[in-house]
Parts: sequence; C-alpha cells; structure tokens
Amino acid sequence: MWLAVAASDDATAPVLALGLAGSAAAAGALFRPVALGPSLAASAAAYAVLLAIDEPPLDSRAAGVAAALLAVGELTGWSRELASATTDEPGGAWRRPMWIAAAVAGAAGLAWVLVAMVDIARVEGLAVEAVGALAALAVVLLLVRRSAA
Amino acid sequence: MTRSADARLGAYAALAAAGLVAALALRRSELAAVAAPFALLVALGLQAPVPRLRAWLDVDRERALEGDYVDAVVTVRTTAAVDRLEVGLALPEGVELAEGSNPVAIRLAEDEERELPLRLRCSRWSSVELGDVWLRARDRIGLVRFEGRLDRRRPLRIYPTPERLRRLVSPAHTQAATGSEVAPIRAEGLEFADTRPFVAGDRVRSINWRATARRGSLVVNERHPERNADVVVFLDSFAEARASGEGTLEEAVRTAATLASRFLERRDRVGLVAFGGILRWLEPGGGLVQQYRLVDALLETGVEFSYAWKDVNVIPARTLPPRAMVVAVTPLLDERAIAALVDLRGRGHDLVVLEISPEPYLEPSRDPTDRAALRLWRLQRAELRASFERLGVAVATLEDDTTVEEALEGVRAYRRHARLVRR
Repeated sequence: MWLAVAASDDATAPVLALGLAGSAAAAGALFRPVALGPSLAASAAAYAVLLAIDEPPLDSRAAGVAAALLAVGELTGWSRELASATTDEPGGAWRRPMWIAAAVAGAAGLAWVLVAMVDIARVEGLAVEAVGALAALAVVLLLVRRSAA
Repeated sequence: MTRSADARLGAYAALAAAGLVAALALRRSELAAVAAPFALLVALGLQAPVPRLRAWLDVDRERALEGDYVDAVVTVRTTAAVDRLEVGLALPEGVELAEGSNPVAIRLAEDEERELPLRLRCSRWSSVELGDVWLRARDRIGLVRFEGRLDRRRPLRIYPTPERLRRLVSPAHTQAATGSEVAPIRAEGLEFADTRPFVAGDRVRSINWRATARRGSLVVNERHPERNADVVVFLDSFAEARASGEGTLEEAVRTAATLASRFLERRDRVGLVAFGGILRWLEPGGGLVQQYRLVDALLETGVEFSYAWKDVNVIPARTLPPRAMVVAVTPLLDERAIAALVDLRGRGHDLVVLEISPEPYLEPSRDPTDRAALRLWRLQRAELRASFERLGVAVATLEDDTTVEEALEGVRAYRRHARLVRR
C-alpha cells in the first residue's frame, strides 16, 4: 500500500495488485507455510515493477522494503510457532520479538548500507549523508567513552 | 537427529535468488539491496550446528491406581548452546497432564542440564509405556530445525480402583480349604447349625450341656465350617459399546477387578477367563500374587474383533474347576458369549451374570424408526435376561448410576428366593 501510494499514476495499479496478492498470500501462509514464498515474491515484485516503471535515479526505499519483507517472513514464522501447543518457559517469550526487531533493523541497515555504497560509487548526495552520519556517530561514541573514563 | 528446513528457508532463498537475478535484468541495484539481507540470513542459517542432546525420563513409580498422580521428570542435557529446544513427552491414552508444561520450549546454555518436572494423572486403567520423548531444536535464526525422538520408555501399570463392597455373593458350593464362607455342610466350625444325639467319637467340647440336661441324654452341637470357594470371573470381551472415550469394557474391567480383589480378601481362589477375540485365562489361585496376576491379565484385555465362533470347549478345563462359581461380567451384546454362558449353566456351574448396560453409550435419536428399533432392542434384552433367570441364573444390570454393591444386592435377593437346582 505504501509503495502504491508513492508510485506514479502508471505504476499504481500493478503495484497495488501485486501488493494485495502478496498480502493475501501472507495471510494464507499463516495456515499453509508454503504460501510464504509466493507472498514475499509478490511483494518484492511490486517493488520491482515500481522501479521498472517509475525509474527513480537511486531509491533509498529499498531498505524499508527489505525490512518490511523480512518482518512479514519472521512474523509469519512466529505466529505459527505461537499457534503450536508448545509453551515457552517463563521469561522466554520475549526473545523471539526481540530477535525479529533486531533482524528487521539489521536488514534495513544492511540494505541502506548497500544503497549508500552504490551511491558512493556514483558519488551522489546519499553517500555524503552516510559518511556524515557515520562521522557524527563516531564523535558521539568518542565523547561517551571519554566521559566514562 | 533429523535435519529439516523451515518454510522460511525456501522462501528467503528464492527471494534472494530472484532479487539478484532481477537486479541484473532490470539493472536496478536496489533489488540487490533488498535481496542481500535474505541471502545473508540463508547463509548464516545453513551454518547451524547439529545439537548434541541427551534426554532421559524418571518416573516415581511403575504402578498406580486410577485417579492417582505420578511424578515424572524429563531431563535434557546439551554440550553446545541451543537457542530454542522444544521438549515433549508423548502421553499414552489413559494418562493426562495435571501440572507442568508439555511440550515446553526452553533455552539451554553450553553444558547445561535442565529438569522438566511433570505431574501426570492416571485417568483410565491401562498398561502403558511412558517415555517417548521428542526434541526439536533450532538456532537463533531458526531456518533449520533438528528433530529427534528418544525412546526412554518404561512401563506404567494403572490399576482400576476397586469399589468398596460390604458383601459379596455367596457361592452355592464351597471347597475343602478353610475360608470365610459359611458352608452349608456340617462339620467343625464356628456357626451353629443344629443339635443331634451324641455318637461315639464326638468331641466332648461339642456337647451341648443345656440340651443334654433337658433331654436326659447327651446332645452335641453341629456347626457349619468356614470354607473357601472357587470363583471364576468370566469377562466378555467379544464386543463393547463405546462413546467419547469410555465404553462397557472399561466398566467391565473395573467391576471384574473389584470382584476379584474382594473374593481374594475372603481367601477364595479366583480365576479369570477373558472370553473374546483372544482368549485369556488364569487358573484359580489365592493370595496377593494372584491378585496382581489377575489385575495384570485384566489390563491386557481388549476387544479384538473376530468372526470365529467360540464356545466353552476352548476354555482349558483346569480354569473352570467343578463346583466353581462363575461370575460373568458382560454387556450381553455378542451371541458367542451368551451361548457360552448358557452352556456353562447347562454344565452345572453356579452362574451369576453382571450385565454392563450398553444403553448409556447409545446415541439418542429423534427418528421414529430409530426409537421403535430401540424399544424392540430393549424388549429383546429383557427377554434375554428373563431367559437367563428361567435357567436359575441371577442377572443384575449395572447402569450409569448403579454401584456394584447395588447390583450384587439384586443378585443376592434373586438367589434368596430362587434356590439353585443341583444337577
């Protein structure tokens, strides 16, 4: 839906159709795990169609798409785990959502870094932003370590 | 342990491959960026090491009564850390989980041993094996699972809870050994029977001095001796009526176990004939060992379907001693069992029939044809009971709300008024 809203008029219909198909397959994956593959494929195809039709110069939304797809896959797996008769030991139930959050964040970060690297290769603005953000982070870490010492 | 892939593994791998191919085809690096996290996850997920797990089961006892609680402890040990380990103990029919979690998911650190206590309730008599433990392990990523079953089975015998009985049925004939049954014959004993004139050889202590003084000649007391009896429990296992996990066989076994233990307490010799698709028998005997033998044999009893016609000739002769009382516990559903009981009566055995009513297990129907059929069936069964009574056999019906004690009172009442004809 997010991609359909962001897409141009030409791309809206196919992106929306693929997105809805992906959502329906994701719902089906809750009952039949084999539907997870088509679900992720349809959702990723929606993004590919958007890129093919709109042809943006370098789309930083790729990080968000990767994170969203991973979230769909992991949440489907978790929901199936919760539906089973197995009881988690006390204190163990929170580990899975923490792992999913970390994995989603990691996927977004990795995709963003890759897009940034591509941008560096092109020497465009996004790479400069990335270098600036990393430099700022490094300064903050340095200050924190010095104040702790 | 068996290695298997989670549904996500295939989906992630396909997505990573399709994304990379599409990135090349469309010349869009963003698609490669989308595919990269999935490719990384698949690569890391496939590196999951095989967990080294050991598990064993401790059960606090091997014998229990229906309704008892049994404590079991599943212990698992690992040499390498396992992020999520699901441990399940397969519970056989007749055993329910009362306390604890089963199956349970735990996390094990390196070289950790964990005990998982379970409290199990023995809900139904049976002879089961407990200890089929299954394990399912996965690492943090969880794309690959390792599953295995460990056979740590040990026997658990769940005995039927005997019902409390105040009185039993007195057999028509007693045996020679000492017991608790007052025999109708006259000999040395405690129960007063009659008086008679003194004859040479009578013991002086048996002289009734008051009667002697009144009559002017020596009069002695005669007494009934306390003897034991041979009792054969005849369990009909040809057919049963069953609904929602409970059937006539369960009730029949409980009744048979109750009777067997009470007769053994009276020092009677008790045997067993489980007459069904498979014939099981136990020669009459007494004592605690015989009680365990009987209950163990009862636990093995099941309804085995068979077309073969069987009559009493297949029962070993020593299992049915002469002058033994036969207590049949039957739903009166199978012609072969009914014919065998009639045959036993015809051979002169003192026979008592305890009918386990199959009616509580019938499905109610509003169809007029079904209701008419039910009425006919009831009439047929009433006629069957009447035909047994015409043969001098007491028939007592155990319904849902009838206790064995009440049923036996019916038998005693019948036998008080309908004296057995000696053949």
